[in-house]
Amino acid sequence: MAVQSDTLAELDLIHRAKKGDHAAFGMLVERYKDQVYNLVTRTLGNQYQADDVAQEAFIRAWKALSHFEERSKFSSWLYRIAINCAFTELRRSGKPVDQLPPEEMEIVKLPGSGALSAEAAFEKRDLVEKLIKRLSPIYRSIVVLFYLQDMDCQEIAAVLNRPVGTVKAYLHRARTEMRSSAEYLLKTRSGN
Amino acid sequence: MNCPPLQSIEDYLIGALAQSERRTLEEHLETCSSCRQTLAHEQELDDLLRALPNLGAPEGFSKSVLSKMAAKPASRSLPDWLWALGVGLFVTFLGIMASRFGAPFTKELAQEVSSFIHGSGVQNRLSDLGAISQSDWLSQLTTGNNVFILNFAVAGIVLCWGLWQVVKALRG
Repeated sequence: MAVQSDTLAELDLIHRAKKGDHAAFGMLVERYKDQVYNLVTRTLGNQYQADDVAQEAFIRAWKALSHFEERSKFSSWLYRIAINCAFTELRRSGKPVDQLPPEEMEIVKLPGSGALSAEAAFEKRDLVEKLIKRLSPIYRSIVVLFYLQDMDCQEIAAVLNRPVGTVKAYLHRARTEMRSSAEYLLKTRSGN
Repeated sequence: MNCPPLQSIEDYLIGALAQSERRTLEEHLETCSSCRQTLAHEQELDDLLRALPNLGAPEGFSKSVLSKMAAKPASRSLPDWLWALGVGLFVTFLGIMASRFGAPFTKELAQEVSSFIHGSGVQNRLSDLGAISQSDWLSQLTTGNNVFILNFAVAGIVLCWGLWQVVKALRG
């Protein structure tokens, strides 16, 4: 019930924003700023341009709002714009969107676990951050949408405008990349 | 014992297995400690990924977006395809008007241009090159009917573009 009223409130904001209501769009910005910023930052792989690119995504959404026809979720539509902005920025700086950076392919060791100390837990988190950064931007965006924004493969397919099978394959490849660029827990855990 | 490939275990974790496949895998996991271990390790990667912090937008982010919005024009209220259809109909209307009422003017214009070309010898030179026939091609082109056809061609292109936009919009 709460979800339904939330959706209705969001639709009302979208309708008002479509009529040029800045304040209504401002509330949509407030609602989605963290998710968009997170998605853009992690897709870019750094925080340097993230602020500008995330802002650009909202400005583009504002300008293109009349094209949003409410058949999909507003969040999916907005994430698509954000990812496109991030890809445009990466291409502008000469970085490929769907290839791994060759200089970052060295193997990383995961710390052993067992009963995880706070330090080891931090180390692991730091390592997973590094593993994500090593992925190509397209894989990074899928990992973020799936694991951090809690979207399923169907929703991600809608965001990226790709078939569901492609999204699943990318998710598999992303996990494989992460496994292969780390001496993953699978091996290290039993030995420590 | 036939163990499933790693991909099936990943599919299980990401919720991409059909219900029957899921049940089969769960039955297998009950009896296979090796696959249970693989699942546990894969689950650990999942848990680590889900535990990553969401990077929040910096202070003043929304304010900055709103100030940039103020500098940009508000979004257009009509979709592209509607604009295209409107322009297409307008061009068609102009075509009809030109064919009905514009013929005397276009004929006059054609005669003027034609006499200029005859005078300057351009047509002869073009004819020598085989580019045109000796007939008065310019006045043919600029008669009322041809203006009408020309306008219809332009309108047709615009209408096709509009229809393409409609198809694109329907396909999402």
